[in-house]
Amino acid sequence: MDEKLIPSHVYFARWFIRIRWASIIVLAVSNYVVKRFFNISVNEIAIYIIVIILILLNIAHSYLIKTIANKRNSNIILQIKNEIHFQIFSDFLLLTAVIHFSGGIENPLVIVYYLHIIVSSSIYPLKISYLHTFFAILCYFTLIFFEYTGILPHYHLQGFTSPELYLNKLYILSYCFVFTLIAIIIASLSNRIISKSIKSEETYVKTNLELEKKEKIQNEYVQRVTHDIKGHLAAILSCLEVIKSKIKGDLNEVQEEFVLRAYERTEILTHFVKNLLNLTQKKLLNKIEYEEFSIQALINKIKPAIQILAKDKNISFEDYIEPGTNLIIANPYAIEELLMNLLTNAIKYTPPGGRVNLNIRNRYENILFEVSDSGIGIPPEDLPFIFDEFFRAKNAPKDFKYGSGLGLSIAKQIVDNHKGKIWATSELDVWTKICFTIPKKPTFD
Amino acid sequence: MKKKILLIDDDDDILRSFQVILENKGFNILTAKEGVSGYELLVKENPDALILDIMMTSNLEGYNLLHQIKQNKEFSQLPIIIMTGMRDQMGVNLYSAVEDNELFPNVRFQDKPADPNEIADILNEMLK
Repeated sequence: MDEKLIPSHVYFARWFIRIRWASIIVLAVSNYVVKRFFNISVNEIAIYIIVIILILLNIAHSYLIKTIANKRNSNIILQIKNEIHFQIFSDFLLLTAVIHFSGGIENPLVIVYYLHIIVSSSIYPLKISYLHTFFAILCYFTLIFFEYTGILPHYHLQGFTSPELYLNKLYILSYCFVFTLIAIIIASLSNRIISKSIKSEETYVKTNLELEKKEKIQNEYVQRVTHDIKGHLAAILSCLEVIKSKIKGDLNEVQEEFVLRAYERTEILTHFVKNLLNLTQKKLLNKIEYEEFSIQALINKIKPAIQILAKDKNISFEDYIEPGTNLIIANPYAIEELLMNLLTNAIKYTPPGGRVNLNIRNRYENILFEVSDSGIGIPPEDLPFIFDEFFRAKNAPKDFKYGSGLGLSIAKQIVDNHKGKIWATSELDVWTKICFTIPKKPTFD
Repeated sequence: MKKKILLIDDDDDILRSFQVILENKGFNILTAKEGVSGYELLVKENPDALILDIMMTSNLEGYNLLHQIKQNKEFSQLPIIIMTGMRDQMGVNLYSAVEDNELFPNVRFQDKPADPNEIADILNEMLK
């Protein structure tokens, strides 16, 4: 499974790099200032050499992070983590060198080790952050021990602390004890506190990916099943048609009644399966094919069919297109289906003598379509759910047997595929208005 | 003279029921269950129109057959009704691409499940 990039890792890696630039400047400047103005003796040249090494290392780190982030490999998190390992280990070594050349145990810079321990314990499992912690302790102890035993020379910070501090056994022991204790506490505490939020972020990303995958599998399953069912239903329908049309002889009244019942139920089921298949395919569609077309031409194309339906129920149908609203880049077949779907719905739920209107307006980057009717309306408590699959409003007439509860879900899916918005407003028993927007040009993430 | 219609579909039940209904509507129906024998029958019997189920056993069988027929000059103007779930299968766009293609004049597309009575009406109109 390819993991999505979890920003916190990159964030920490970049944060380290930024802190390092700041510390490089601070180190260089303080090295200069401490020597010139405070008369504290530090090994100036050695520190400047370390500064140069740090600069080169930091350039390498930022280059590495950039390369890893740009490649977006499947194991990007692992690579970023390894890069941070590299940063932590190299920093510990250099920090130990800086401390060595500027007073050893006398230097308060020892606190900088803690910064890395905090970051390490935030993004790594506790075991690994303890490893980093013990590496820091090892570096520091070795330095102190080597200076104490004279294996390494001691560079005393003249004018800063007592010159014999690095030989004071009690001081060294208590200092090292406190250093170790605090390092371990920091590692375990920040691992507990910070890593919790990062881990939940990791889990969130993973769960999301798994959910998407599961939904896709489920949709593919529905697609296969409904497609098979549709084939069988088509065969049943045309076999029943042979009996129903009495080609091969007449039926008695009861026989005819039951053939008609069976035929009608099969038709309803076919309609439902077709809608379900349609919706599932739209969900599985990962790319729409866009083309530029004229909205006016599309309306002219669907108008005759709508007018016939409206006239049959003595409903007045009017359409209005705001001047200057014409070309759109979208999928013309999907938009045609969407408008037909909403307009036939509006006619279906409007009593004879009512009206259905289609208004199309310019809205900045979008085209706004409004389908309104003087129909039975939608109960306020049902309004939030009308785009949900299989939902039918409580006041939907029971004799509308063809209602699959999928029509508006299909409409919403088409709008979603175009990255538009769809919503409804209504007053029960008075009117319903369904609006949707489609971007004039496709928007890509 | 009864118009001779060749019906190619891999579904036995559809084939048989369409045959009965369309014969009742006054057509002479020949049937074939798959592309190869369908094409042989087409060449042998030279029907007035063809009804083709585009999604036969293998996904491309129906489409390849359509292509093969329209490539043959003798049949380039043959009226063909395609019963298709292709729009469902591949999205609307292949459908429109085929529809728009001038290689395939005289071709009508009918969504599955198709009503045999509607098919009869379309046949009458195409054979006018």
